[in-house]
Amino acid sequence: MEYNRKQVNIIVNSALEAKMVRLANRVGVSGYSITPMRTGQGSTGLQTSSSEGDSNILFMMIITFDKMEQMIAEIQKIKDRSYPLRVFINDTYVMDEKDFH
Amino acid sequence: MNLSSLLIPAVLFFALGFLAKLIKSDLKFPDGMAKGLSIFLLIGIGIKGGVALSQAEFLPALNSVLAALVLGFATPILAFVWLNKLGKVGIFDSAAIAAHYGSVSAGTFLVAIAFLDSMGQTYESYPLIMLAIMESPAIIIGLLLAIYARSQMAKLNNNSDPESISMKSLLHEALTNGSVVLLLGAMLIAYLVPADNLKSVIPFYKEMFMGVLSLFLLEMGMEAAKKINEFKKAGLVLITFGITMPIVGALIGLVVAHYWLGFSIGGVFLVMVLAASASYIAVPPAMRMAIPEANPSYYLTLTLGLTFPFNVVVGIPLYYHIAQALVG
Repeated sequence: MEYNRKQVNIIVNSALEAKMVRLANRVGVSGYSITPMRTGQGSTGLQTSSSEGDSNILFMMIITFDKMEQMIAEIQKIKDRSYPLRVFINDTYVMDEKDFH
Repeated sequence: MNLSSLLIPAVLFFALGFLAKLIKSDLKFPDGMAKGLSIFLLIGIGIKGGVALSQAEFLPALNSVLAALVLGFATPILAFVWLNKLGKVGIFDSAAIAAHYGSVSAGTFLVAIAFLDSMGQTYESYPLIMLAIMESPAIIIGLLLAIYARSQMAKLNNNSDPESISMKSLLHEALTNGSVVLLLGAMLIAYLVPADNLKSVIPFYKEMFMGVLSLFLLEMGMEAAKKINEFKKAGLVLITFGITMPIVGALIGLVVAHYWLGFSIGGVFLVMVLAASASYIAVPPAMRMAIPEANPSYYLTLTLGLTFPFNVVVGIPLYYHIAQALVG
């Protein structure tokens, strides 16, 4: 069994959720999942989900290598405007390849 | 001013939440409950405002709206000058924090109403309208300050001004953020619906209101206590600002409410609280979008961890005392 897709994970403030969805749609990814992050701490301080501005989400997509490269290029543009996004990418295996692109 | 003025359930539940975190209790609210409670409270206060508006006279109401706009635009500019020019705080952090202090905290306002109710003190209904109006202007000022900050940084670095968030999208954010939509929407509904038809929902929003406020403040007490460890990052200048800016704001509110609007003690006190409070619900997400260069831990720590507890415990009795001394 070989890895056949990339899992792109983005931790971002929930205020930017709509922006991330628009970006994914623009790049044409086949799907995504959004999970609320209850609490966390990092370079931008403690996040406790007390309000929208204090809540992070995990925006996750499983996509092809080509789509991943497009997403990275677009995310870099957002990061260049100082938005604190955290991105990490894993190799992954999916059984239904046609559903993940 | 005496200690009994603090003996209202909402304040004590706030203290209980704060204490629970300090003693490392495992007390925890279900995820998203505070957000749910704040929706109830905003609709409740909107309905109260709408009923008040339906009985209000046009000219005083218009005057209150104008005063709210003046406060909403002037306070963040004053806060920005204080932070950036006097306190030498970074230009982006100054802009983002200033926007929070120009907007208002519905939670603080509701505690102030509970405070007045506990003493049987009457008040004008116009501050309820001002609450809804004052949510938005500071967000717009925050964006304008951010545009100014970026142009200053670009000049300093000899760069062209980097692409910034458009005025259109921030205006959209300022005028359509959840708090504003709920407050204005509920106000409009209560204004339009005949009093007899409104009776069916009044018990839900009126009789339960103070109980729900207690729950909300219990959670906010826990949230405020969680931010305590963040203070060391904020530094002395910001901590001083977080305590003195509300007092300055309250004094500006006092001048506006007494000399311009001619309110009674209760009304003057409520406008002081509006001008003294800092937003921790509506503005943080807007500033996340508008000024990503600013450090969110500064504005969240200051507004929720410092200014909100200060206003609830010290500010509210203090502002009332000042209003009473001047107006009474």
